[in-house]
Amino acid sequence: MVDLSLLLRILSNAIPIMLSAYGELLVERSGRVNLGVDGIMALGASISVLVSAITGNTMLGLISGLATGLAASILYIIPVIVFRVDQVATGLLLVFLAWGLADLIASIGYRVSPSIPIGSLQYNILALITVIIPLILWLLMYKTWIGVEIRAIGYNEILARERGLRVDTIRAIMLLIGGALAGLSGSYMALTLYNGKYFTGITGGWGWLAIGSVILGYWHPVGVAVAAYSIGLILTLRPYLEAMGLGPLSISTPYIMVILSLIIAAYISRSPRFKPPRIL
Amino acid sequence: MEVLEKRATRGEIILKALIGALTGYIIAIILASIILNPSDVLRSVLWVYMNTTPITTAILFSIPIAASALGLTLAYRAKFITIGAEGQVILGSAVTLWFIAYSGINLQLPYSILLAIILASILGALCSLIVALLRIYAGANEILSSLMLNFIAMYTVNYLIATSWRIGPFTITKSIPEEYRLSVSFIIATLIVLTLLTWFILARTRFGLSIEVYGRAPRAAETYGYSPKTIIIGVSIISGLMAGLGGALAMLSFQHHLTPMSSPPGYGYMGVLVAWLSANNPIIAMVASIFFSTIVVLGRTLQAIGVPLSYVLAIQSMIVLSTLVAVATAKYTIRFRWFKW
Repeated sequence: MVDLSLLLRILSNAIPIMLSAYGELLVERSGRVNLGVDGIMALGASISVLVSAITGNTMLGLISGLATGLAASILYIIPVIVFRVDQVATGLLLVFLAWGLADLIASIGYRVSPSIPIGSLQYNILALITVIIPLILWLLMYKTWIGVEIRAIGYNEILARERGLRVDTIRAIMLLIGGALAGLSGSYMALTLYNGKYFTGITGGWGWLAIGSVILGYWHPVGVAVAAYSIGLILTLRPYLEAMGLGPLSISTPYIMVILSLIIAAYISRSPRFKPPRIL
Repeated sequence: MEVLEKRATRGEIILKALIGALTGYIIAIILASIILNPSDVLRSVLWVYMNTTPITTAILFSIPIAASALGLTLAYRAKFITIGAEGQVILGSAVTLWFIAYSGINLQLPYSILLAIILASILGALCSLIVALLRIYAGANEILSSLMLNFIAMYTVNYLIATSWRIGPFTITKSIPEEYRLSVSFIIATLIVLTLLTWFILARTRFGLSIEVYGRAPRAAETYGYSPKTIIIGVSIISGLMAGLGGALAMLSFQHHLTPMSSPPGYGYMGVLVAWLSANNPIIAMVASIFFSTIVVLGRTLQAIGVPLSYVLAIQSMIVLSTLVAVATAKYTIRFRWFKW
C-alpha cells in the first residue's frame, strides 16, 4: 500500500541531494569537479541555523545558506581558477575546512538561542523547485548558446579557449551557482529535515551522494533527477532495511550504489557516442 | 586573465611554502580567537609548543598520520589519487581491537601484538586493493570509490560498536589491556623505519622508479615496458598496508578503545593532507605529520575551551590550502585584464 507520507519523505530526502547535484552538474559540465559540496552543505546548514535562530525567520536562514555557498565557492575559485591549484586537493581541503568552520560556528549558535520556529518552511516550495529545475536546466543545456558554451568547455577546454570562449569566467559562474545550490541544500537539510537543529556530521556524506548522483544520472539533467530520486528512495528505506536485519549493509547501501554507478558510467563512457565531460 | 608559467628556484618554492603554511596557521588561529576568547586560545597554542608533554603526545598521535601519509606519497607519485586511508585506518584499529580484546585468541605477548598488526595491515591492503581493482578492471574513478569505502568502513565499525562489541549501558567497547600498550620509543622507531623504507622504495628500487615514470608520463612508461596494472596494484597495496598499520599502532598506543563516530576521526584524511603538503617527499612528510599532530594535541586542549574537535582538520586544511596557493604564486605569473576577462 502506498503511503502518502512515505512519498513525501522520499521527496524531502531527495531535495537536498537534487539541489546540490544540479549545482555539481553545471560545474562538471563546464569541466571542473567541486568535491567541496559536502563541506559547503555543512557550512550552509550551520550558518542558516544560526541566522534563523537570531532573526527568527527561516526564509532568511535559507537565503543566508545560499549566500554562504557563494562565499565558500569563492574559496574554491581563487585557488583553482586563478592559481591553477589541483582541483581534487582544493575540493577536499574545502570539505575539511568547511566542516570545521561549521562546527565552530555552531558552537556559538547554541549560545545565542537553542530553539527555532519549526513549521514555517515546508516541503512545497522546494519540492516545486526540484520539479521545475530539471526542465529549466535541460532547456539551458541543450537549447541555448550558453548551454553549448558550457558543454564545449567541458568537452575540450583547449579548443574552447582557442575559439575565444571565456573559459575561466564561465567556470567561475558555474562554480558560484553550484556553491549557492549546495549551501541552499545544506540549509534545507538543517531547517526542515532536522527541524532546525545543527549537529556534527549533519550532512552524513549526502554531498558525496550528490556528486555520485551526477555520475549516476550520467551528466544529464533528467538523469540526475531520476538518480537523486532513487537515492532519496534508498535513504528513506534505510531504516526498513535495517529492521530486516541487513545490519551495516543497509546503512551503506547509498554508498555502494554510488560505487556501482561509477562502474556503470565508466562502462557507458567507452562508447564514442556518449562521451562524458572531461572532469578529472 | 592570463596565467603564465615561470621557472622558480627550489629555494623560492620552499620559502613561499613555509610562508604559506605559517599564514594558514595564523588565519585559522585568528578565526578561532574571534569566536572564542583570544587569550585562552593563545595560551593553549603556547602551551603546546613550550612543553615536553604535548610534544610526546604529538609523537604518539603522529603515527597513523605519518603511516598513511608515507603510503600515500607512493600512490600520489603514481597519480593514483586514493583517499581511502581514512577507512583503512579505521578498519585497522577496529580489527586490532577485535583481535586483542574480543577474539579470545591467547598468544604470548609480542606475538599477539605482531599478529594483530599484521592482520590490520592485510585488511587495509585488501580495502585499498578493492579501489585499485575497481579502477583497473571497471574504470571506476578511484577518488570517489575510495571515499565511499571510507563511509562504508565507518558505518560498519559504528554498527559493530553499537551492537556486538558494546559493553555496559554506554556505547563504548572494551579497552586494550595495559600490557599490550606500546611506548613512545617504539613509535619513534617505527616512524623512522617507515620513513626510511618509503624513501628506499622511492629512490633505490626499480619499482620506485617505475612509479615515478608512470606518474610523470604514463604513455612513456607503457612504451618502456612498465605495466600500469602492476604499478597501480603495488602502490595501492603498499598504501593500504601502511594505513592499516597506522590504524593498528594508533589503537595500541593511544586510542585503546572505540566510541561511535558521528563524523570520521580524520587521521587518514590528515595523512592525505600531509602527502599533499609535503609534495610527496617521504622525509618532509614525516616532519609534516609530527607538525600536524601537534595541531591535533592543540585541538584537544582547545576542546576544553569550546572549540569543536573537527576544527583540527580545518586548521590543517587551511595550512595546506594556503601553502598550495603560495607555491602556485612561485610557479605562475597571473595577469588580470579586467576589460576582457
